[in-house]
Amino acid sequence: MARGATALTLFLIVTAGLILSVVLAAALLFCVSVSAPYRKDVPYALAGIGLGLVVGVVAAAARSSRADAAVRARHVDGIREPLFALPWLNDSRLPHVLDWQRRAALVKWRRGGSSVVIGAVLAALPHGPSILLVVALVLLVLAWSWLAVVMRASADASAAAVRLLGATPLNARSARLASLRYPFIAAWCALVPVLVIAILGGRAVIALAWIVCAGLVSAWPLLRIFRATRTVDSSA
Amino acid sequence: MTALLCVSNLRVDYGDTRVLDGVDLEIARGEFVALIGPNGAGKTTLLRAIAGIVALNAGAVDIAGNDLTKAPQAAKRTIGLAIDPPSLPALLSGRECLALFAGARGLPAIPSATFALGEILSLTPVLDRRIDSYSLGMRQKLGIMLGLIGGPPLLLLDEPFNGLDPRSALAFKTYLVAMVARGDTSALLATHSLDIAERHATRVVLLMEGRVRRSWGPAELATMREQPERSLERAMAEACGV
Repeated sequence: MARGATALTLFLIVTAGLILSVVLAAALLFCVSVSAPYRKDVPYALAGIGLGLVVGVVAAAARSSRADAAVRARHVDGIREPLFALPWLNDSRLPHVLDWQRRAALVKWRRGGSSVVIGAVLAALPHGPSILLVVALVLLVLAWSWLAVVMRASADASAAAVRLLGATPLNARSARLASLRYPFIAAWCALVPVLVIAILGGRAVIALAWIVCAGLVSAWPLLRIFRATRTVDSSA
Repeated sequence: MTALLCVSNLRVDYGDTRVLDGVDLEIARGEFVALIGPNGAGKTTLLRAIAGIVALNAGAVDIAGNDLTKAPQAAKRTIGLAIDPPSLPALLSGRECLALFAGARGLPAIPSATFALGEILSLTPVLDRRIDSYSLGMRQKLGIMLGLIGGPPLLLLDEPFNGLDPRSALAFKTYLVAMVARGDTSALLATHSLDIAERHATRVVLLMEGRVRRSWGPAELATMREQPERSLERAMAEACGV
């Protein structure tokens, strides 16, 4: 019953996504027919929509096929969770700290994350740049704001984990390594689109500037993680 | 009997407020000590100070020969603190939380004894659900399982029966008493339930205004059990000057 309800929800979401994508593609084609200079950008935009659609449908199908009781129970509870489980990312020395950080980041992101920053950048865009430039800029800001959210959430989750485990003989080094695992992986994930944009644009300065900005938003959360895990070895 | 826990002249302040003021307490191996006292007496703070999660302003805590301040990791290997339900991580499932604690204790996996306790407490069916969907009773059961994971010799339990249904409360009480009776585990139980303290504890300690006001040993407790008119409730009232 619960699985049927989940499948129906996924079907409705996929259908809505398909309709929205078709409408968006049609709108783009209409814009191209009106404004000739943007015509060359259309294949990229359509390819992006198509790719997103395929990835989304495959992920949804894979997810709905997971029949284990645990997943069904979570769906019954209506608890939303990350799209991919990624258990291989876990640190066996201190398991599930990564899951905690990842879910905390997801919750923060879904609550709005740094959407204000993205909105501000989009609003500040001058009239006239090509669609590719706009897409590249949005991707850069998106990657940066996502990383900022991940870093903040990771620091919060790490501090909470250390507090929770305060009465256990937790090893400081294990705690620190387990706490840094997800921020490290997330930073690499965020860097990938940045590097692609820098390579395609032929400008290394884009990547450098982004890394500096990423360093600025990551410094304080990383310091918080170091401070939280430093207190582990000493008694309260 | 050898002292497993030795608390001497313990003082804890929260800002300007003195919560514990010169507490002395010893627990031997295989002892079941009930800590009773009015609200705000300092019972929870005493347990948290012994667990090393509250800073000591003065005094010392020695657990199995390890000074909590000088060798916190060695001392903490000996204790198991049942986790307060509101402190549990909402974003993890019960099973994930157990694995996290097992990892923190250096265990390769969740011990089978923990799953056995989960069966006794009827928590097994919901272990894969996220904690934010748990009721108070379920959280309390998980908090107990987390405290007992890895079989630490000294259990610190703060009102563990709060929120438990009568069947689970009885099951855990039986489990706890049997575990202590085997002689390899000691328990310090902070409780308002004088019935549990009087029936099952080997010693009862009354804490008032941050100090140990009175203590009742096995012989006195045996007398109380035999003579209902000399109940722990009455004895506590007399000690409190009511």
